[in-house]
Amino acid sequence: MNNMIYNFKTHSINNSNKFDNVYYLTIGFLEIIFDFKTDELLGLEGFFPLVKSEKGTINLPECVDDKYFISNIDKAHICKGYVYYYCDKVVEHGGYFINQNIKYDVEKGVIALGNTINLLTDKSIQVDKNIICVVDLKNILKRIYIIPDEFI
Amino acid sequence: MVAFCYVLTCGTTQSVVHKPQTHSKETHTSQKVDKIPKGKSRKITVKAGDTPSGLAKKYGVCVEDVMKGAGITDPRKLIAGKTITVTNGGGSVSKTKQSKSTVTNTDKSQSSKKNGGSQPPPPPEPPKGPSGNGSGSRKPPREEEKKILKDGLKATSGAVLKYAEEHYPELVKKGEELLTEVEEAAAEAKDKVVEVIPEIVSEAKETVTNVVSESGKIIENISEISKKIDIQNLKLSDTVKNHIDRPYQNFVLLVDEITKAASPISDPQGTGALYWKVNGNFNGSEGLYELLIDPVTNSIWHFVFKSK
Repeated sequence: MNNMIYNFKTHSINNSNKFDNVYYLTIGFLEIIFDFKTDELLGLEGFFPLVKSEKGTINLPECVDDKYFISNIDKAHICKGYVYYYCDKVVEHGGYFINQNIKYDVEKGVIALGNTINLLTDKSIQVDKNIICVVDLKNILKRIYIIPDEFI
Repeated sequence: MVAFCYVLTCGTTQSVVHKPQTHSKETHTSQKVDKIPKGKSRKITVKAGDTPSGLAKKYGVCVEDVMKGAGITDPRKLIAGKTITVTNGGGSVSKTKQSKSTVTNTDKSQSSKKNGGSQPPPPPEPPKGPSGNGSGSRKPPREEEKKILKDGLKATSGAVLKYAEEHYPELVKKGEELLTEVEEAAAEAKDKVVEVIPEIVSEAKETVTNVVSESGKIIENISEISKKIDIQNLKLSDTVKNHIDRPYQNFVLLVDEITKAASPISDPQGTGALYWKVNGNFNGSEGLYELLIDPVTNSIWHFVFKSK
């Protein structure tokens, strides 16, 4: 089983699992890992400082257990193993990650990235124990909740 | 403005006889009433400077009779040199357009009488506008028109001031005093602004110099710090280490090249690391190299080639 660890010394998120046949889309320095063939979101990793994050309570939304497949992506020039800017490759991204608002709930050990959600219309998908994706009506990624197994 | 002048000029019962600016003196100042009997007509040759109201006054008819005889509806269109036939229609002057001002003035004078005659007499009639310049139907050039208008306004304000000085000397005096005060205050404010501007400029210059100096120091510091990085012995964070699929991370030479290609900036996310962002290519693909090195631990925290 994959273990996600947040390391304060290096300000990074690491996974115990290795991902093959993937490509990466970055929001800031955070890398979102997608399966090269299916476009399924597999994980997150990378440099992700919480120094300037907004500290406060994060309430996780009610979720459905599901997979998240990114849509509206321009895959014409995406190569296996390569890294791209999320906003460059996702044709319609809704501008949800432009400001890169990071919120960090110290007590719960939860990090939130992206826009505020609409509980009535948005859908929350529990991708795995570490990641919750919130998408809007058009399946555009709106917010990501990161729940590392451990903070070191 | 033309209409305004016209209405005032047509006030035939006004006591003040207006002297026009240009050559209509003969027509208006020495008017003798050569009355056309009721129901009778007379042929009149229009002279330069004649106006319907002037002619109406001269021949004891109403303005409408003159305009009707001239076949015009606009009093400015009276043509000098043209012979017109004026018939005394017997119309009452009070029923005509210009009678409005006459009635008003009469009312005013009556109310003035009712108030024991304490009200001052009406202000002098302002000078005529372009309609009274005696140029007949010829439309004056625009500049000339403007000049006439300007002169007219000047003369009007002059006349109003003269009138006010005669009838309200105290108010005029007070107004002048206030004007002087305002002028003095404005002069004082101007002096203060003139005095303050160099100070502000000087302060701004100083601030800019300080900012430039501070920025220089910061850049110098960053540059000094970056020199301390031991590229040959860099450590890798777990995230960076895990990426065996990014072979460029093993290239010490590439790191060296990136760090020399551009000056780093302090990590905007507040970690204290140094951040390089350099254009480059990898395996024939163009993109950007992002490199983040923590000088304290001499570790690479982030090293990615982002393809375009």
